[in-house]
Amino acid sequence: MSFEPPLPPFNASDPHATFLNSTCLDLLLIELVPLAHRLSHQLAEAPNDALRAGVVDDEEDEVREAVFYRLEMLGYRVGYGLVERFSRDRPRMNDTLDVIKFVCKDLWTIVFRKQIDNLKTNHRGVYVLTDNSFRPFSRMSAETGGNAVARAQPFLWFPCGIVRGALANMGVNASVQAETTELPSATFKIETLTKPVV
Amino acid sequence: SSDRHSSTSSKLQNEVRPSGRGGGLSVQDDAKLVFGVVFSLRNMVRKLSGPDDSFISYRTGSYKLHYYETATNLKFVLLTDVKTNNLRVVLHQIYVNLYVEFVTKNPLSPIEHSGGEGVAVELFEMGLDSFIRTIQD
Repeated sequence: MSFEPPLPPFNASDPHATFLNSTCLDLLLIELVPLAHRLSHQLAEAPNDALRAGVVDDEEDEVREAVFYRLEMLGYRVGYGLVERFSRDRPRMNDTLDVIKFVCKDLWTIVFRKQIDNLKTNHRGVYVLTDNSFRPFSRMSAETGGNAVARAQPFLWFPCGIVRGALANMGVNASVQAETTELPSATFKIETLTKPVV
Repeated sequence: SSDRHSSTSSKLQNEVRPSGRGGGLSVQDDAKLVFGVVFSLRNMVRKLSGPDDSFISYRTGSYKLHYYETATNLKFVLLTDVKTNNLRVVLHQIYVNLYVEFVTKNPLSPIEHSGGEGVAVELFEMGLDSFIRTIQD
């Protein structure tokens, strides 16, 4: 963390300026995932423990689903609001591809401080976005053999929600999935569920 | 207790081993011994010079131990040959640029590191290795 004043053009003595230390935000967002796990585990244990005695695998799946749902919905709300705030200076977008490009350039820059590195589409409503150095993965590491790639997966669910919420508020109804095969890269797959906005 | 929180980077341990050590001590045993020495010395120095952390290093005939302690009670120790100048600044940089970045800000790290868990992660070890090599040149 730094206590140094921000560089120009930002001025810390401006009474209307508001700044947030990026490390504080990073640490808060990192804690989202373990928090979702703890909440889901607690809620899963709450009712009848006797009934659940033999059903360990299903419960694990249920908990995983609950964690996914919790994080993804949080992201949805964030993405939805972000787009409202940041698209005000943009002209109305004509079609789905424009919306996707907005996500790849503008949304990614606002949220992840860089743009998407690669965009592919089958021109039938499926878009694949690749980020070769996904910012939430930039400090992600485990001891050798520590299965970092699998453990990284839940950290993609909140960002999936952000993308889905952003798309929704721009009139694109879509499903968003993400995966990683090698840190720090991440791939997002957007499948539009309605006809493109004309 | 004394050895609950120690973690050593084994790459460095292997390269900078004080001469004259014949017995087959493991890296973990080394870490415990170093922690014990450092803990006692640091307390003694505090009693002699006051609460500000004045314990910087000590030197024997065969090696030099450099010490740096953070406000969060993290202790960084570096063992070198006797001719090396004080590397307290190096330890501070390791803390700020490597430990904070790759351990504290690592989403996969546990919050506490009992038994050294979650410290020896790949990015930290790789960064540490290349940083030390840069300094050695």
